[in-house]
Amino acid sequence: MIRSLLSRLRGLWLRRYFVWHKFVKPEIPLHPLSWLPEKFCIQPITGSDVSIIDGFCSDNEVELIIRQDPAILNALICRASMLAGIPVDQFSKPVLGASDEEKFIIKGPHAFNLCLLLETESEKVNLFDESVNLQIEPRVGRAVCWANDDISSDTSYVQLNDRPCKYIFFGSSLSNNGYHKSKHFELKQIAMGAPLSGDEYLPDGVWAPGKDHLENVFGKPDFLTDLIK
Amino acid sequence: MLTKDKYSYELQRSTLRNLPSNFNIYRAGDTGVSIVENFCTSLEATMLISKAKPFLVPSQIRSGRKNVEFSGRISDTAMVFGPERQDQSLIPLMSRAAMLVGLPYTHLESLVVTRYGPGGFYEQHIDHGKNFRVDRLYTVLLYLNTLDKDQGGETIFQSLNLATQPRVGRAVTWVNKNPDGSGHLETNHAAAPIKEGSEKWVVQFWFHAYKMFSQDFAESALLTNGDNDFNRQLPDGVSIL
Repeated sequence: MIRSLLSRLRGLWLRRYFVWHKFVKPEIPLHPLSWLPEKFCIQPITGSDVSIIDGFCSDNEVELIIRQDPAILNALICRASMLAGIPVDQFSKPVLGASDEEKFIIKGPHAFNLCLLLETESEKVNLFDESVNLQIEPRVGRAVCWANDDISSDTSYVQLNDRPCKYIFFGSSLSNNGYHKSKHFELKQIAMGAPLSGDEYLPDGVWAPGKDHLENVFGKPDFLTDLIK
Repeated sequence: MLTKDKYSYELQRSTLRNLPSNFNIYRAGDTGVSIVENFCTSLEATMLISKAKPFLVPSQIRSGRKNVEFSGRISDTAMVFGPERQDQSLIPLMSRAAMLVGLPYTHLESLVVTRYGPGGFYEQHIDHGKNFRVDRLYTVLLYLNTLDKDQGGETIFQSLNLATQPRVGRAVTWVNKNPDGSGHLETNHAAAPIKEGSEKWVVQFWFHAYKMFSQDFAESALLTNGDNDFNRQLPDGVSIL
């Protein structure tokens, strides 16, 4: 009797957030992966707070970024937000620029910084940060992100020198700066998934198996898929 | 003591800093499914398998208000993180999955490791429902060992015309539900039977729209960042001065 009562109470305790959200709708953040380009490779630099991301944007998106198309800028903020773990509405206005022969320094009291390179250059540029001095070969879609140790100061910066290079910079703080509202971001995850055509780029060991594969594997008709159709 | 905002930022920062090398995310066309290569290292996968082994029991499915064994699901499962068992060493992996779905790791349901032995399989099913136990918004399915095509065990998304072979450290992630609660039925998937002499190990991360447990492990989670891969190669075209 007591054991059963305790078990019921425990069940109710486990469900407390579920029950609460029947009355108060939970706020669902944007699903970051819906916004990614085809391939996105994160490479942390050992012993530092710097990461290099290749494929942060696709070649096709560069033109739109240079034209400052709001939809693409929002998508880029979503990608940066995923890495930073900071909501989209805490990112400040993106700054599009080009370094020239004079040294260009980006400074700011940001918690998280991301500099996306928009040109491919065979010669490397220098990127300095407090924790690591890097030389990076600019490539279209290559981003460098880093976090600031002291959020309140202007200490962290990136310096692109010697070589001209187009870039766009994103910074975020730890509070809402009022520049973006999350309602400005379209909820892409509402769309239903579409089957693979077979022409998509997929990693090794991932493929479009065709409609008979399941029946071949299990030796019986595909009842659930038929039900969905 | 860190404030909540500062804490979650620090945890994310630590998660990003401790990602394995070549953490590659591939979008599988417009299916809504993403494939992540190198989600975990081989060492982390082995650690998860060894943590699960002592607790394996025959897998069940939810039927009404009860859990029952089902002939369409032949496997063993072990809960490695849940109300009864909270192992802080798993938090780095949980935070990594949380980064992919944009939710805090406290929205994770129990962490369940599944072993498919020879002949093991799971017929077509969806991961979500209206009941509390299956009210799942996102799934991250992580393979803990590698199987060749002739060993079976692929995950088949029939409605999306997609199949993935198990590779150690490969994660497959998809959206089960929309924020309005409507479900994605096209995410129905199956685990193909395992051939004789092989076995498949996976771990499922299921995220709910709301918090599932309230513990935050604060500073200790920041200190236990799994397998630090300090011999990382620098990306092509990058050097340290």
